Amino acid sequence: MRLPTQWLGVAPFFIFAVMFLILPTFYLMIGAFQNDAGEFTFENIAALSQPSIVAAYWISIKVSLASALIGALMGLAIAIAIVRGGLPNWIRSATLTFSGVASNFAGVPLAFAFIATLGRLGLATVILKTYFGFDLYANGFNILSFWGLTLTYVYFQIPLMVVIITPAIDGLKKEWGEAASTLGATQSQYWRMVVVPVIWPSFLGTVILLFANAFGAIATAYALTGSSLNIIPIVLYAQIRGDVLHNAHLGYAIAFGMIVITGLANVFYIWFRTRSERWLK
Amino acid sequence: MADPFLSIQHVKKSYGPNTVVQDFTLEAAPGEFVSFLGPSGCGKTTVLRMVAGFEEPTSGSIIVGGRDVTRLKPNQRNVGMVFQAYALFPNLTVAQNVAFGLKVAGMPKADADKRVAEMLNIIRLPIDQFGDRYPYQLSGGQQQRVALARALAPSPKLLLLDEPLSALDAKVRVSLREEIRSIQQKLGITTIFVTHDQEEALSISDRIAVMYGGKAEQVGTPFEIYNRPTTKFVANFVGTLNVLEGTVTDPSTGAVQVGPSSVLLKGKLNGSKAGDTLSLALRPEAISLGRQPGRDATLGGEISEVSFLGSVIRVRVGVGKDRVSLDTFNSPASPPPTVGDKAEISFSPEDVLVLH
Amino acid sequence: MKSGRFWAWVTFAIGAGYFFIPLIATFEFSLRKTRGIYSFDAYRSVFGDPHFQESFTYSIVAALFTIVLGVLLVVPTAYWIRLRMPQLRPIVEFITLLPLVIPAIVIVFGYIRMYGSNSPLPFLATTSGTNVLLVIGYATLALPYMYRAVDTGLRTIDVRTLTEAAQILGAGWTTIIGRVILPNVLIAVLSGAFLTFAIVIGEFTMASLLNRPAFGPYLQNIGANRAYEPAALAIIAFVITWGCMSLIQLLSRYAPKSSNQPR
Repeated sequence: MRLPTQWLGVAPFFIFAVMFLILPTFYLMIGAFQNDAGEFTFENIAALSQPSIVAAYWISIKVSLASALIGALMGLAIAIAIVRGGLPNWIRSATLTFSGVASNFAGVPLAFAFIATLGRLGLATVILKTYFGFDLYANGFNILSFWGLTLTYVYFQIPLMVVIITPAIDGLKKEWGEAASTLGATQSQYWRMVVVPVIWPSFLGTVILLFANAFGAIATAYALTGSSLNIIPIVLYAQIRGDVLHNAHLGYAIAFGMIVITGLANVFYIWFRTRSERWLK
Repeated sequence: MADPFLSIQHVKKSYGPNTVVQDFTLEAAPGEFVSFLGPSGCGKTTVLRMVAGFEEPTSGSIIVGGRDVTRLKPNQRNVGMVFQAYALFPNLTVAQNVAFGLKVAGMPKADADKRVAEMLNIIRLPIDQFGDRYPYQLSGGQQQRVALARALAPSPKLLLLDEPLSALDAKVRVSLREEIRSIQQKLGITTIFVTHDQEEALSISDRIAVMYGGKAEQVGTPFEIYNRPTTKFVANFVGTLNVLEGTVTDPSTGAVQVGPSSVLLKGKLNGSKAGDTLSLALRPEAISLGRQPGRDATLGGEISEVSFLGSVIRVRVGVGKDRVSLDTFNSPASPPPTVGDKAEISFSPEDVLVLH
Repeated sequence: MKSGRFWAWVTFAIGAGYFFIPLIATFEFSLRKTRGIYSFDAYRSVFGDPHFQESFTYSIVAALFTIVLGVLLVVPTAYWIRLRMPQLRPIVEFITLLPLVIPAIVIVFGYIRMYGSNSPLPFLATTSGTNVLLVIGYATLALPYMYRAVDTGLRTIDVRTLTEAAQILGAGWTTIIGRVILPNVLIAVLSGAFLTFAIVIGEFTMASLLNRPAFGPYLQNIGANRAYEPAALAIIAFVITWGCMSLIQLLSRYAPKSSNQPR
């Protein structure tokens, strides 16, 4: 029999979590299935199918997925380079420190930095045009576009990947490679049969995290593109500020859809992990 | 040795200005079990890693089965290796770990399965019970046995064991080393075993190379290494050793003064002159308390410590300014000696190792 | 191995280029306010702007309150979970990870609908109530980071043994928490605090939707209306983030190394 005083130690945390994290989320999720009169309905969910909203979800998913995948692959390559590449030790610590900073350098200032770099008057744009004769904008690039936003998001996605995946690369024991080579395996066989399967769960988990990280982000996109690139958080932001869709419950449905997407990504990850990774303790 | 299977010829290894291994030469006959014994940093692991191919010798050559492998990559050498930290692949089951070397060699699956079952049988982890387990579900001793099976499965020419028992607890260590030895003898595979534990090396090896400072101090059978160490380092490192300081009084009779007493060590003094100081080394088991037939050199002293260890009683006796340890068997009829008693120790002059 | 090192350098160089070019470009841009010469005029203009000073102060105060709330919320919980209720660990860890999955804009949307002026708990009816709600929102955003930092700190010191040792020596609960546990996790708590600061200082979504005059909305407003000041602000923000992270790194050097951990 456990004394109820035990629970007093954790009660403030749980009360806080319920009141300010779980209930508000449930409130929206329930609201997504109600009409103004409080009756149950699927109308709000059905209303998500209007083209402008579908397009907003789609561009959000594309930007998040592209930035997560590019960030994850680049981040993985950098992590492998600094852990296993035989680079001097100071490069490793400098990279990790810088990654800690850059992964938190997001939001409005990041947008400013990319406008100053790749905007119409940005340094990189100007240098490319003046010295290399290459006009980015004449060739279809625009910082206020899908690729512009993706390239900007990658700035915090890569370092986040580096910070999270480096411990996993460190966890690869040198002896595994040595054991594999005495058993006759080539470097690529070792990577295919051991390294990739061992890193895969952490890699996939981090990709999902990066996806959610980009999917919910609004400040960077808003400061960068205003409302010229309608990603779903910006649509929701506009709806909250001014009820631009003229239907409060449609806002709930949009929020519900966002939770479903990040939630599904995580469910997929958990399913994958339990199914194929029985060797994980 | 007429026809060595493994031949390590004048191998040196330097990292910049640091020489880790200097001129190491060793030959091993087919099926021989050779241990590299020494303290950490003596170069034993470096030599092993050069044989495996992880390090390239600065000079010298390594020949396995008549083929010079000095410049070959590890995966071209056909050696099996067992590591201190098991190094099993965590994402593969026991059976998949053992099959790894067969799979990369392209062995047909049916043959590989048969070989895996056979190997798991040898290490007494039957495939139907253990084959599908993952490394984390095994104890340390079981993991190391799987690592052994994995190393042996592709029928390597040479088995390299890098302190394979160090991570295990005492009981498992003893039983596994016996198991390793019996499997090795059954398969007749030439084996190099690296350890810092002298008891391990003595119990398991055909021959031991005692290493120190990047060199082989002495190479010999366990019996030779223990009973006839040729250097002070070997004598000290292998086994417990009592060292008594003595002064030569008469080289012609072999008389040496130790504390207040004198012993005759005829033929052991190697041309020392009167007045020379010598270190006389004796194993605990070569010393008796009281006079014993056949042990006619005696020294007087005083009992300084008595530890009752069960079947054995370890007694320390002060002789001059030195102290010697000796073991006597427990006997229910006679109580152990008392600290402070006068005592006489005896030993045979034959058993004395004179260290100059 | 030689070619491996070559590719490692190439990878590193590409990464370094991608990360440094925007910083250099932004800095260069921030110096161009006065036509024809490089000057710090943009910075002068930013620092002289009363709105900058107000919003920056507001965000610092909000960050400090967030840190206090986060510490009060996380430290006792993490300690108690380690000491007495390890069976709750998976649930608590799951909850602390939720803010990484539920977007901030969704959380704050929930607040606006749940705690509006007509609700039983009308946080949004008053300005001070809204400020409190903003700090609460920030605390949820920082929860994953704060919890991780504190829990890692607790793990390295082996709370259970330390607590039992203190109890055997006759210490009461206040002594145990105040003189044994807190000093030992102080570094971890401070790391969490600086990370919280870095996250909160430029936060835009929550502050904007709750209509608070914080630094994030100010930045956004400047971005929409000025040319060179945003670049200067980006550099300032980068320096602030960098400062927080360096302090965390500096602190980690003084963190207690685990000495009694059997693992």
